[in-house]
Amino acid sequence: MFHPKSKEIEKLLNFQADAVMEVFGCYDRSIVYIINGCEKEEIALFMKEIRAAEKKADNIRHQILRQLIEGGLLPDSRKLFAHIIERIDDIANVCEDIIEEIYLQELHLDKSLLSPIVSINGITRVQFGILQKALGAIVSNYKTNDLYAMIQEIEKKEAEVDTIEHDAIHYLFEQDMELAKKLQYKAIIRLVGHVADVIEDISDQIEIMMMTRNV
Amino acid sequence: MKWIFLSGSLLGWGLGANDAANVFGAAVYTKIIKYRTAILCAAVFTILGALIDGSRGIEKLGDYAFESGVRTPMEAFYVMLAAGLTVFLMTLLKLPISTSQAVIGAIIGCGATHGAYEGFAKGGQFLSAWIATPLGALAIAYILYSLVQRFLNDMLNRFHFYEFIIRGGYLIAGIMGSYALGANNVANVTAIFTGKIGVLSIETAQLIGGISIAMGILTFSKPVMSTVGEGITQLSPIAGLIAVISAAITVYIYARIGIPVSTSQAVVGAIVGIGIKNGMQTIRLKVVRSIALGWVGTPAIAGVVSYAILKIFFRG
Repeated sequence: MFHPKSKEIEKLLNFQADAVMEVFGCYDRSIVYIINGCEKEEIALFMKEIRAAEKKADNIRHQILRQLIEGGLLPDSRKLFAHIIERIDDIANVCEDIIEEIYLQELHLDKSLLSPIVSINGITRVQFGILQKALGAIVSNYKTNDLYAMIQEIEKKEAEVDTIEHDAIHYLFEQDMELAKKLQYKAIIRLVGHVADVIEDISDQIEIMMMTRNV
Repeated sequence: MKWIFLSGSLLGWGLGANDAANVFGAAVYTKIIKYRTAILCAAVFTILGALIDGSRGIEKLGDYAFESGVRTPMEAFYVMLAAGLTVFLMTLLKLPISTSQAVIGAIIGCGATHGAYEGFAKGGQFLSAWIATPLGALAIAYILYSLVQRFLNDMLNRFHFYEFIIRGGYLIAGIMGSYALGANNVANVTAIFTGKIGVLSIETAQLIGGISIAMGILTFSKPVMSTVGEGITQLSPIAGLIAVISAAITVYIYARIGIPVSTSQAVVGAIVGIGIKNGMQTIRLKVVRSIALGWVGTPAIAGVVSYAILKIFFRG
């Protein structure tokens, strides 16, 4: 009854989270360089690095999906994990999209964007760390109160990101620059903040799982 | 004359096709257990239940039938035919049906053709059991659920333990339910042909009855499993598991007493019990009305059908 496959899925889930954290790390480093000013060729190299990391995370996701298809978990658990790994993968996709948009649109980001983006990424990194702990808990053993505390912390971090995002966009539209540029920058800021939204969505799924299991 | 029990076998087949859903429906519908595994387990343990614990119900119902006016093998044949037709008709009309209640009603109807009405008075023991069944399941479910909440809630936060309990639990609950189904309901199928009527011995009645129900499970339970399973899955997986176990315990208790009861009504009672514990509004007037209709309406309709068939085809 203790299906060995479930152990394999647990292990892969941790690998996937680590791989996506690697993608996030690449993106975080890249965007700081980009805002501080770098050539298009350098941005292309960053993109290549992120794509390679994202592909690695994607491969792990496919492995998990194959394991889920083969069985080993209850149908409800399979559905939950399938949803979670797709959303974790979305984190990597958003990171890739941000750098790709900058590259394709040949954007030269204003240095005033550096501070809010660095702040948002710093909070998002912490938020993702808490999520990794929560994911580890649901596949092993958790105390209900501790897990709820983690979920609340993730939500709190997402609210902080929202505030910075809002303030940054507000500041942006007060600046004297072309509307088209403002809209481009706004889109980038929104994407940067979106990573925190995705992490919060995953924590919502964990909350739903807890409610289902609660007697 | 030996073929006469086939009308009971047909009723047994229908009973198996319908009642397998009560014990394995939720597990199959939510894909916790494969359909094939469910029906094989259900069939095997139904037969075992009938063979090991079915004799008391057969003796009691057989005696009741004879004392109420079912005196010949042909009367027994028509009574079971009437019960079967009632079940078929009410299923067609999408009305709630209990095989036990149809059989009792048909027996009383037969007695009425003799001008004998002892079946009514003696039927009181069955009526009280039918009322007590959902109430008993309610109480058992309430207690079990409370115990699980108190002692197992934290353990269920362990991923592997949770997966083990749900997967293993539904299999064990289904097996318990199937055993109880066989032990309790075999009497509905073949009891009437035993005792002084003498078509079947008790042991043969247990075997034939068990196999008849098992055949229904194996050949025609799939459509009903989806419909009934959906009703139980409104609960959490653990609550659904407790509902099935509670119903199985209740039905088994009545198997030991020797009174066939409705598994469906036991499940409904168990669900209500869990709902009460959770403070949920699970008592729906429509369901209560349908159960109450079953207690009185089903035997009444079966009685009328039995009376009509016997008057037309038997007594002329």
